[in-house]
Amino acid sequence: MPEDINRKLEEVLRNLENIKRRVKRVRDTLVKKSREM
Amino acid sequence: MLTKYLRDAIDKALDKVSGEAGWIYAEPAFEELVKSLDNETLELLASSWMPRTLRSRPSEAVEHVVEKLAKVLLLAVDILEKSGVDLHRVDWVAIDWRTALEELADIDPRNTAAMARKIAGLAAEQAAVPLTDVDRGLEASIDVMSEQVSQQIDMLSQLLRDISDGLEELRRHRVPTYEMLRERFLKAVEAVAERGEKAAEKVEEAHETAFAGEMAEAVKMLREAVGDLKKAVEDVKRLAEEVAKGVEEARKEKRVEAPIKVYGETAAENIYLERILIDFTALGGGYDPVSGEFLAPLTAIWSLAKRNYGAYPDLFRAIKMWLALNRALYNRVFGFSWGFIRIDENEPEWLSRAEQIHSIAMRKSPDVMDMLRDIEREADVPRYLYSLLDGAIYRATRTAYGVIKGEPVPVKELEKIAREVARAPWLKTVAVWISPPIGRPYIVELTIPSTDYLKKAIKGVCQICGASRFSEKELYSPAAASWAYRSVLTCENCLTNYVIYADGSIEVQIPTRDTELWRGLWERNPMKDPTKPFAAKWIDNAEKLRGRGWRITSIT
Repeated sequence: MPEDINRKLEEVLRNLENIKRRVKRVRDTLVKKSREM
Repeated sequence: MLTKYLRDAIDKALDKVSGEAGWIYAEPAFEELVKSLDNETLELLASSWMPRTLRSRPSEAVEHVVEKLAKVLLLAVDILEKSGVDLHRVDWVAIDWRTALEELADIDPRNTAAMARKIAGLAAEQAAVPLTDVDRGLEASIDVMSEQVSQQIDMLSQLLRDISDGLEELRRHRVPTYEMLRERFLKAVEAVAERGEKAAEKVEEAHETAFAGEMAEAVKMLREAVGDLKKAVEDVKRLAEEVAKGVEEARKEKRVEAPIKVYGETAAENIYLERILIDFTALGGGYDPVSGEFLAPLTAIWSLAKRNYGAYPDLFRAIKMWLALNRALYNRVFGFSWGFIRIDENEPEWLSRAEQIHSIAMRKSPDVMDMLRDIEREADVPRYLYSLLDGAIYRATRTAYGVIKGEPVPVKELEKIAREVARAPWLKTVAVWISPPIGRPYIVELTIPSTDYLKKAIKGVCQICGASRFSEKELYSPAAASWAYRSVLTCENCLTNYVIYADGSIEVQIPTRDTELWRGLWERNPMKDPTKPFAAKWIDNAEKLRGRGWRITSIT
């Protein structure tokens, strides 16, 4: 696979992994808030 | 289908749970809930909650689902009671059970408590009562959404990687649809990036909303992010399926061309190879870890060959580069095996370089014809070198080259022919010994039409006279108009030639009556008719051959 496509693909995959991490953060915040109430 | 078992399943579930404490409150909920249980919902819940073996028995599957739902409701009622919710205030009818059931299907089947919290949360939300523990119903939603985002992203990543691997295989197999699929992949990656960004934005918003304490709103945003990701998965899935199908077909056709590995036989040679590789990389090439090949555009190879010729004026070095280049070009155009086999162990270095450059040039020619014209125009290729090659490799390939030099043929067309020829059953590989005027002799592998195939085509007997003795000839110097070699079978009785060409076409050459040959035949011909070269039956036989699509000509 040409390098430019590989680079783009890796970038997209990295971003998707970031979304997963962010969602975990959202989940933790929501749970925390829910228990505070 | 499943709903026909529903009535029995409800009765059985009621038998089991109706004696439980709290069922009096759970029952109205149960009544509302079962109204939403249609085939689709039952299948969804069964597929999520049950092992495959049980799912195949529908009546048991429905029983399992209904009983589990009843237990979930009992537990939900318990949570609501403990949270101080007045259960009389809950309007079970107002709950969107269909959506609730879909969300239950997303929860780990072992986690009945999470399911119960989910239902309790919905009930509390409907009753608009201040909640304590019931908010944990939201937690269940949050868990589900968070899990779904992860799942969709994992699926998306896997699909993209599968497509990337598949495309790599298609490229190595030289499948014609590779370019088109690669373009689509590029677009798909862009689309995923776009949808991913949108999902990321929604997740960020959800985070802010969660901080503000608006949990239900935050969950809603996560749900939207899941929706975006699901759409992306659907789009990519289609492409992944097409690529997988392409790979499967390519494997069936065994288009794989054995990669030529780059190697150095001595430390000094390795250093030299490394240097060349650096040059190639600088010119836009690259190392392909999958095939072990070094890839570069042909333009890069040509400029490297020229550069090295200038840097190493030694004639042999130039020849080596030139041979490598030629081999690369022929391979590019014809696709079939031109394998240079080293026969001199004392002269190992040039071959490995030629192989290396060839392996690089196997890919991605911008336009082979332009390249060949450039080569012809190049002033720094010495004339004698050109002649030398003319007498060696060039001689062996002159028809191939002749087509390109004479009538311009679109490269794509040549490639198409080459691909067909490379798989053709009528070809066989032979080795030709070539002794150049300067330098050491070497062997070139040629792929040529096979007389064995020809014999099978005529079933071992002459189609004109019925005799079965033939002489065989393999001709390496074909006429300029032809683009490849031919092999000939000659009937020893009637002297008819059967010629097979590299494109698989067969020509039957029948002697004419104007020749000595014919006169000899006429003497043997019992009919002794001077107006006909053969007996009438032979003429008939020749006519019949036309029906087979063979070319019938006369030897003059």
